[in-house]
Amino acid sequence: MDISIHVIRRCKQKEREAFDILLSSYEEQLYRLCFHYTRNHENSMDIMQEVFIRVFRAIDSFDESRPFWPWLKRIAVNSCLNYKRDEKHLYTALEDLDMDKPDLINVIASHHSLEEEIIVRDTGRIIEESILALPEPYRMVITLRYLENMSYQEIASYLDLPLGTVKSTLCRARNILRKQCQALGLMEV
Amino acid sequence: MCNFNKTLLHEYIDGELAPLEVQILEEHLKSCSECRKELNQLKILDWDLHHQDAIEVPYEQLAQLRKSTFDDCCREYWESQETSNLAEVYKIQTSSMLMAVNYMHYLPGARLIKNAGSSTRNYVGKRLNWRQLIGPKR
Repeated sequence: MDISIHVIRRCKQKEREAFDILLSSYEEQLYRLCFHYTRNHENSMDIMQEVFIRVFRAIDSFDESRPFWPWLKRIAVNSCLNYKRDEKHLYTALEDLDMDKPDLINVIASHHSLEEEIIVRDTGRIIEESILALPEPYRMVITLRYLENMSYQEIASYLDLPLGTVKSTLCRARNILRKQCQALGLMEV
Repeated sequence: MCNFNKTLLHEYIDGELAPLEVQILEEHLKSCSECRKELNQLKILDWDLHHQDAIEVPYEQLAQLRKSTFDDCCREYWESQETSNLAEVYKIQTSSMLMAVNYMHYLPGARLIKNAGSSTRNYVGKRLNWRQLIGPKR
């Protein structure tokens, strides 16, 4: 899916409606990327706003001979990395983890096994918390690898890192996560 | 303690190993329980990371955010364009006036005009009787 050059040219002329046409088809993917990285709705929306503003300002420099989505994704990745994550952000992010999930009472009423549901939910929560606690650039590497299914080479070009650094970063990030899960007994094989 | 390069295990589950490296690794795994265990753990983690909870996308909020952000951006942009247009007009007019003033220095007869001006001043300075200039009263 890529947007027509005509719409991009209209955006370069700063036509208001053209931005709606351009961004509406990508905002879902952008939000997923931001949420996967921040694990928090409010922070994701902040980053989304930043992405929209950056697109508005930078659209003039977009090379029309290249595909639009990778360019847009790079803006989103940079916005995520630049997002100021202070203690407040992290604190609310950790607190909000369970807020949108259905109550256990609904699970009991459903056909799913309660025990399985609790295990899956706990595992998911532990993985989420562990990813949140990862330092940079581990978090972004994990996000790009598992949300966008990017290859090592693609991650390297997105983050402007050497290929070897991406390999070692991903390896270290997974080792941190593996050890945390192991300590919590989630790695029984 | 196995000294095998553990990074290869990660590249293996990511499908980033060359065929020859895959062969070497698989041969090693046959005889090394430590690497087999680590590989299994990595596979579980890999599965967990691939199967995280689905992200709920707030479509309406996103559309609202997009609308308000681009409304603001476009308004600010066009307002700044108008201001800069006025500034541009002012700049052009100022520069054309300055050029006209400068051109006066190169006008043929500029010195004559200047001298004429000063002569007039001198003439007026003498408090002449205007009657002398406009002629006798009828």
